[in-house]
Amino acid sequence: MNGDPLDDITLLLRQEASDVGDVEAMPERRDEAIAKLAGAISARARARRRGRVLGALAVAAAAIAVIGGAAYGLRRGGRGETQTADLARVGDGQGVTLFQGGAPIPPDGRVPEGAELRTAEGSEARLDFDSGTSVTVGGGARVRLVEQRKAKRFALESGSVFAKVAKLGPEERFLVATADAEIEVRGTAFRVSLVPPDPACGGGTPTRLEVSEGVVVVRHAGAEVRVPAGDAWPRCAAPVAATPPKVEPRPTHAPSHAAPASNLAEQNDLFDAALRDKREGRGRAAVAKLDALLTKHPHGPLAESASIERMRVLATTDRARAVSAAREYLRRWPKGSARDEARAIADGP
Amino acid sequence: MFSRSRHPTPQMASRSAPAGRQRLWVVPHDATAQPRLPAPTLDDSELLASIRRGDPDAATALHDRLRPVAERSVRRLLGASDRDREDLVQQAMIEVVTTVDRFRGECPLDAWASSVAAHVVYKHIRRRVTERKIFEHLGGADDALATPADSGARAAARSALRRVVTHLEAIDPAKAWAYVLHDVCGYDLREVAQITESTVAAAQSRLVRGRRELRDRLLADPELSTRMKGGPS
Repeated sequence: MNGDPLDDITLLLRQEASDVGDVEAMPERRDEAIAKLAGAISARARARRRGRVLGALAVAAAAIAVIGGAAYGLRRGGRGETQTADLARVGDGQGVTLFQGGAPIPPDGRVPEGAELRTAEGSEARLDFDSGTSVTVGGGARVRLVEQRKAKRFALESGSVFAKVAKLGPEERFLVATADAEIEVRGTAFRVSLVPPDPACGGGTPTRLEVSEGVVVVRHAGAEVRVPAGDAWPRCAAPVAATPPKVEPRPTHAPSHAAPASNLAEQNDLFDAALRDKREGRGRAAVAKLDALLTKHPHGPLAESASIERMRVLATTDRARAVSAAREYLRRWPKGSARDEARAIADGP
Repeated sequence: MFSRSRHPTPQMASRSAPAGRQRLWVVPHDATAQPRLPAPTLDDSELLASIRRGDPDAATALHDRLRPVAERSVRRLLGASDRDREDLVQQAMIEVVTTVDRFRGECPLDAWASSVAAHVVYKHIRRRVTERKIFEHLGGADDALATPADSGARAAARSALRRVVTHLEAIDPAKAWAYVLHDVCGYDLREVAQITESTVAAAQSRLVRGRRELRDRLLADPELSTRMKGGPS
C-alpha cells in the first residue's frame, strides 16, 4: 500500500491481465488458420493489382503536378520546407550486412531509411550522422533504422547499441524501441541492450539501459521512468558485459551549447529529487523542487521535462495551477512531446 | 447500460479461470507437454516483404510469428476461456495481413500486432448484441472451486477485484477502456487512440478523467479502502 488506492488496484489488475496462460502452444486448428491467412495474403495481392491499374493514371497526373510544382518552385527560387533526411554513414564496420526490404545492399555510402543493419559476432559497426550523433552497434546485433529525419528512430531486435547523441533541436527526437520498451533521449550517451530476460528483474524485460550522460526516458508497460547519468534500468539488472565503445571524436558542425557537466549534474539531482517526491505522494514538495529547477535553469536541458512533470503533479493536486502550467508549457513548447497532454489539461473537463 | 453505449467496457482475463490450472497434479511429464509452435522461418523484415509481395507461402511464418502475440492480446482483454477467442485471434491475424501497409516500422512488430488484435477485440465487444457480464472472469464463481491456499490473501484480492469491477462498470465505458488499455495493459496513448478509434488528445483526456473517477470511487468505498489498507496481496 503506497497511499494511492488507484496505484494498488492498477497493480492488482495488471497482475491479472498479465496472466494469460500458455499462448505459445500449438493451436488445434493451425493448418486451417494458415490456409485462411494464405487466402487473405493472396486476396490482398489481387486487390492491389486491381488498384494499381486504376492508380496508374492518378500517379501519372500526380507526377505531372509534382514536376510542375518543382519547376515553379525553382523559378521562384524558394526554399522548400520538406524535411531533409540526415542519413547515416557506416563509419567503421567490418562484418556488417545491410538489408533493405529483405534484400542485402552494399554497406558503403549512406544507409537508406528502413534499412536493417546486422553485425557479425565479435564485430562492431559505427553509424555517423551529419548532426554529430553516432551510434555504435555491438556484435551479433540487429537494428533497423526506421526513420532518419528530425526524429531518429531505431528498432533494436537483438544485441546492443551505444548512442552518443548530439544536442537536439526543439523538434528533434532520438528514440530506440525494443520489443517491450521505448527509450527516448535529448542529448546524451547511453547503451541499450537485449539480454535473456530475468523474471525477477524488471518484470522479466529483456531490455537493459545504461546511461553515461544526461537523462534518458524509458517508456515500458504504460509507465515512464527517467534514468539519470550513471544509473541503469531496470535498477535490479547487473551491468551488461560489453563496455561502452571508445567512440572516436569526430568533427561536427552541430552547435555545442550544452550546459556544463557540473551544472547538469545539479539539475539532474534536483529533478530526481522532485520525481522521488512525486512518486512518494509529496506533490507540494515535488512542485517546489521543480519550480526551483525552472527558476534557476529556465533554459536548461531539463526545462521541458521539468515543466511536464510540474504540470502532471499539479493536475492531481491543484486544478487551476495545472491549467496555467499547461498553457505555459504550450506557449514555450508548442510542438513539445507532451503537447496533447497539456492541451487536454488546458481544455479541462 | 453498456449495450447501449458506443464504447463497450473492456473485459479481462482472470488468473484463476479455468480453475483447474491452479491446482497441482502429479502426471507424467510427457502427458503435460503441449506441442509448441515452431520458430518462424523468416525474420520480420523478410516476413513483411513477403506479405507485401503477396506471397501466400509466408502464411505459415506469419502465423507462427504473430499468433502468440495476437492470442496474448485477446486473452488479456477478453479472457482465456471466451467462446469467441479463437475466432478473434484468427480475425486479428487476417487484419494484420490486410493492414500491413500501415505498419511503417515506427514501433516493434509485436506492439503493432498487439494493437491490431486489441482493436479487433474492441470492435467485437462493441458489436455484441447481447449484453454479457463485464469482466465476467474476474467476477465469476471461481471461489467455489478455490483451494485452501486460495482462501487467504488470494481470496481477498479477488474480492477486491470484484469490487473494482463494479466501480469500472459505473464509470463511462470510454474512460474505462482508456484506463484499462493504458494503465493495465500497457498500450501507449497513440495505440489507445488507434484501438478505440479516437484521437490521442481524446484518449489522453479520457485516461486522465477515468483515473480520477476511478480513484474517487475507490476512496469512497469503505470496504475496499479497509481491504487495501491490509496491503496488496
